[in-house]
Amino acid sequence: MAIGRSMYDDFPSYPFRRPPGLDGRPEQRPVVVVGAGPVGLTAAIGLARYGIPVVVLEPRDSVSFGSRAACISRRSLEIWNRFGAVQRPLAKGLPWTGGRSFWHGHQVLDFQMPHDEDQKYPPMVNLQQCFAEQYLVDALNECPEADIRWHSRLTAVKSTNDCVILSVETPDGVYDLEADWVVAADGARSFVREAVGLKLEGNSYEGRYLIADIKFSSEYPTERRAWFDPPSNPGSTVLMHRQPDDVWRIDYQLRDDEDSAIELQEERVRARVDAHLKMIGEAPDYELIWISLYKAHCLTLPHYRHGRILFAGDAAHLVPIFGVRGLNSGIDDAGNLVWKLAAVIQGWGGDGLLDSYSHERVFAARENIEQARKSTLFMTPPSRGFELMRQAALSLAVSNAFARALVNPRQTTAITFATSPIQTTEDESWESGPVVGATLPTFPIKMRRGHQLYDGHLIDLVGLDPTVVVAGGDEAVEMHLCKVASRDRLNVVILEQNDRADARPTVVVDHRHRARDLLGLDRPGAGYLIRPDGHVAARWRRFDPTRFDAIFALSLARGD
Amino acid sequence: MSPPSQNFDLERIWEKLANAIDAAGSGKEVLFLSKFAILASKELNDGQQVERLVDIALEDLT
Ligand SMILES: Cc1cc2nc3c(=O)[nH]c(=O)nc-3n(C[C@H](O)[C@H](O)[C@H](O)COP(=O)(O)OP(=O)(O)OC[C@H]3O[C@@H](n4cnc5c(N)ncnc54)[C@H](O)[C@@H]3O)c2cc1C
Repeated sequence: MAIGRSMYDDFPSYPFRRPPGLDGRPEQRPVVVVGAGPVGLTAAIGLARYGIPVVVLEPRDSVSFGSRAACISRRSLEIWNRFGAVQRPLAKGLPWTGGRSFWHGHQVLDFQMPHDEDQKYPPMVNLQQCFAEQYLVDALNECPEADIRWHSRLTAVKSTNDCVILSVETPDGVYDLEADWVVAADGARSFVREAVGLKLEGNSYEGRYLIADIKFSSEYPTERRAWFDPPSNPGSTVLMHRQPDDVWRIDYQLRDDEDSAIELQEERVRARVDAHLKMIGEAPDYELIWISLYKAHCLTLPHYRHGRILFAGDAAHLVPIFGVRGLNSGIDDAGNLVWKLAAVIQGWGGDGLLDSYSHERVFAARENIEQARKSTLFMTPPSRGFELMRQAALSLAVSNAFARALVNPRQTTAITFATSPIQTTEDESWESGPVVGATLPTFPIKMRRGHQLYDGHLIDLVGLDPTVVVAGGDEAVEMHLCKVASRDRLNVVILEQNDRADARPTVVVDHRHRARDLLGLDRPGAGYLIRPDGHVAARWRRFDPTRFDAIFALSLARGD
Repeated sequence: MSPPSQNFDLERIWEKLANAIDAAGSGKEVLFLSKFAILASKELNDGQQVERLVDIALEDLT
């Protein structure tokens, strides 16, 4: 809930535009995205990048309110980068790499997330969700393929064999819209989910967190701080994050004996925040901007495909906020779904791709839920046993490094798919590099354009098409790959140790000699087949052209 | 369980634990024992063994 007028009120509100359907002109669309949350918007931008016309339905007239999911992971930034939408969130967001945890005045943990000079993006940036959404809306408004319909609520869904008929309620009345495919990104209380009779499975935890956005200026750096059972809020856990524009986000756990309605009152929140700020030695005049209550859920649909309807984001799964897997996993859903849907619509991939979307992302949700569940047991102990074991771990962690592993917040990392109908199993032994199902790591490279070499990053070379990355030096391999690329959607990248002054744009220079260590490419022709979402579909040390053709077809679910 | 080693005197350890519980003081005994359980498990470095000991300790609590 908002407290008075604040900077969060300054986002534009969008007018209703009368769609042709209201004037008796039936509309048929290849894709309709339900919900203009961050997940629906990411999916819509991705589809537009493939040149696919997309309609987005959204009942509100502007972006959402408050910081909500405020930590954006490196993986999410990479996905936005692929869709040409990373610049503004990255420019505004505050990067961070680690944090500290405290217990009774002792520092019990000082953690760092994986980060090194090879990376293009920081492991995490903090940005209030409303800004992220606004940047996505702005990017989408620049796509001629995209049509965001504000003031438009989906009120009925009817599936037929070859389309889905959607009824949309607007200020001017109700109209029908026919979609070949529907992306259901309509959030935690998904109407689409209800309408087709699907149910989330799993648990909800009783742990409640109160979230407050406050504004004041402080020199303290951007990092994640956590206090367990602090003197200012005995029996509670408190988290604090810096956000852009001098906004600080404080999350504190409510004890079981505390009443939500009472604790949501402004004076109560102020008293708790005052006590916390005093404890950490900050005593500013702050502006209280936004208060909200949050409950931990561990829920997912068992399948994300329902015929022509594909579920993504909170409509598909709910994950506790600890480790920031909620929104970030939804963006990952969108990154996974977009290229598959584009391939099916444009005919370069088989319908099985959409089943693989469900298979892979349900697996990811279960992994995320398991990690977040473990974090939740520590952050919000559900019983006396967990409470005691947490105290024991915290007390040991004051002076014993081994116990700090128990306190570590397990921040989200990219998921490796154990299995997938569109990936191979490994049959060679590798010294290093991402396994099949993992995501491609990155490192700086130089790219040739004409006579000039430019600085770039390996992940920049993975665009909208599948990409093959091979170690240079084997003419026959390169010839075969270029032949495939000449008749199919394949982007060929040849990694050379030194510039060979070849004008072909696909040759890049691994000037820091990372390919061997980070990719395990130790012989000419060895390489990876990378999907447009950055996951490894296959890899080989010895190239076999017939086998390559087969795995390329498999990775696109082409039946024959 | 494993055969007793030469410098392991169970009675002595029993006394040491009793004194430590007293030293931890009222209200902190359980925390002390919980910490000790984690430390001892870590030192044992054998998940199956630890789980077996946990099950034994749960027996005959009344
Ligand atoms: C108060 C609050 C605090 C949160 N705090 C955190 C946090 O600290 N950390 C964290 O990771 N996550 C947090 N979350 C969750 C996070 O905001 C979500 O994970 C994220 O927004 C999911 O994005 P989404 O696009 O899937 O769904 P949403 O952002 O919920 O977007 C769904 C969209 O669908 C629209 N919609 C709904 N019904 C219809 C319909 N019938 N027709 C058309 N459109 C419809 C909605 O208006 C909405 O815009 C919080 C959420 C809330 C509400």
